[in-house]
Amino acid sequence: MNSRRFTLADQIKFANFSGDFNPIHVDLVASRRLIYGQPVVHGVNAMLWALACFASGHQRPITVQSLTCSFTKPLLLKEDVTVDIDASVIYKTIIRLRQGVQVVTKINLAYTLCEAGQLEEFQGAVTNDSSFGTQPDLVTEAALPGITGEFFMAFNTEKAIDLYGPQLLAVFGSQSVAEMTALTKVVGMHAPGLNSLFTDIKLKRTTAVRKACQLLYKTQEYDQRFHQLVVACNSKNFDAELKAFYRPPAISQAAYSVLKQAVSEAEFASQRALIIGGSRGLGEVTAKYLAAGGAQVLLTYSRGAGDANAIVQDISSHGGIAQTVLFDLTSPNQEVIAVMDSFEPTDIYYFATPFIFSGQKGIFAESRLKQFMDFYLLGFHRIIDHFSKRGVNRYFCPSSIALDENPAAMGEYCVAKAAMEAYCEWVVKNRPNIKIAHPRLPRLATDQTASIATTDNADTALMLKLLREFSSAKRNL
Amino acid sequence: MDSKTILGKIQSIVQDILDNESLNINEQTEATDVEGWDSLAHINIVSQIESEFVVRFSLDELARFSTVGKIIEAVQLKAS
Repeated sequence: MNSRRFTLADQIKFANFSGDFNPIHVDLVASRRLIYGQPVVHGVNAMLWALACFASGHQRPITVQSLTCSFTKPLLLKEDVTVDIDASVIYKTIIRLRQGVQVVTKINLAYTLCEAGQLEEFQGAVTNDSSFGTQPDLVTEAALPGITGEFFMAFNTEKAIDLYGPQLLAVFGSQSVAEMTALTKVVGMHAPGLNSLFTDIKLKRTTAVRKACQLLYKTQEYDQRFHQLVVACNSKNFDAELKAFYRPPAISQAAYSVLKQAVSEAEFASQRALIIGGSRGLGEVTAKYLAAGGAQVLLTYSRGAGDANAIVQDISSHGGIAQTVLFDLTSPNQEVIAVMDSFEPTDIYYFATPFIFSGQKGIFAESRLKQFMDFYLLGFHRIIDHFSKRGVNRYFCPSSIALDENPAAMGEYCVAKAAMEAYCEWVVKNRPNIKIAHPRLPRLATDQTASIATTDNADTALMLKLLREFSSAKRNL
Repeated sequence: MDSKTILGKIQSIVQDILDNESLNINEQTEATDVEGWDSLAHINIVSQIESEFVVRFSLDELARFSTVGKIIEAVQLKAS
């Protein structure tokens, strides 16, 4: 019980149990464009599992007097998480969840003992899989200071036992577990709702007399400097203070009609451009600029079919020529490669990338290096190896100014990008007919650079300058 | 308040937020030197410092927090 891996199936089960269907937890496609590039475990799910671990070693029922819980790092799916329980102080327990050596969740629990007959059982409605709305509230930043609302809690004992085993309810009682569970719905669905990132819970037992199933929530403070919201919550047994960030929404790139204004009608007309990884970010911007300049564009995507189709629709509806194809670089499909061959590209733009997340300062992880190398070096090599045999001699593959800085937590990324640069130079040296541009780009405003903190990202309009340089260098060969 | 006292209080805050009781910082310490002092931790540390010293920093002031020494200077200026 003291170690486990959360899966997407666990996430969906918890969403149906709690009513928190925020896409950052349950949507593989949408979450790839959010701050962590992948689904992360609901903090309250992790907290309840940690409390279940505590309960499994605790025979007597308890009354929670206070609880603080900090979600200090994102808890990732499919990676081991371990629980460490420090009960050295009587009636005060510290629980830490770790992934690797990093503490991802820390809980301070203060309690008193009670008798089994004193445990309070939840008496409200029983939930089923269709009890909850699944669309989180879309709250604008301007509206955050004034959020207020309430709902009636519901609970399903069987689901709670399925998720955490029977001991959680036996030690904490279903009323307390229901009240703690409801906190994830407050943040993930309502305050701030869709664009939320839950970071802290502080709850204290109250002596106020309240309805058993009602939960009230209200903005206590919104700190615009940090985009941080503090929400006050009142339920039957607890007064809670919840902290959450107003998470940056997915970054949208400019529409084709806007980018087209900066491009001459035929400046890229000689190109049949294959864009590997074109469904968002720099690949998306490149597709739009090239199509606006008269290029015929085939853009590939791996998971974002909806995004890719929307780009094609945007370009096509304004007279550009674009099509899209599903291409998973990690397991290439011969039929898809045949589609790309039949497109007969003249230029290939390579933007395929995993999510660029920071590692740990001073730690060089082989698994992270392998992931980056698979995309930046081996994936690009396979593309060049395949298409150069078919006469494609022009490639664009962006590098990064991160190499100049080599940040402490991004060693694997920088090494993989450096290897890619060295590979490009090796190819050009050995096959002079091949032209490869691998400019070091600054941080540009894309999903990959979205951050809670305000950051100074360069405008993706920089891409047009680089595309022009690449295009004119091509003509001068 | 003298800088040594402020440093001591900031050290306690940082130790608590980073869950590292043996962590030692000084005026030259930068966030990038300290394991776990990421953007989320930084916001929590700043919020806690504001609460401890009953001050509030502007975004311009926050942008100058390149070292612990700079934070101490800002606290002295605000709290005086």
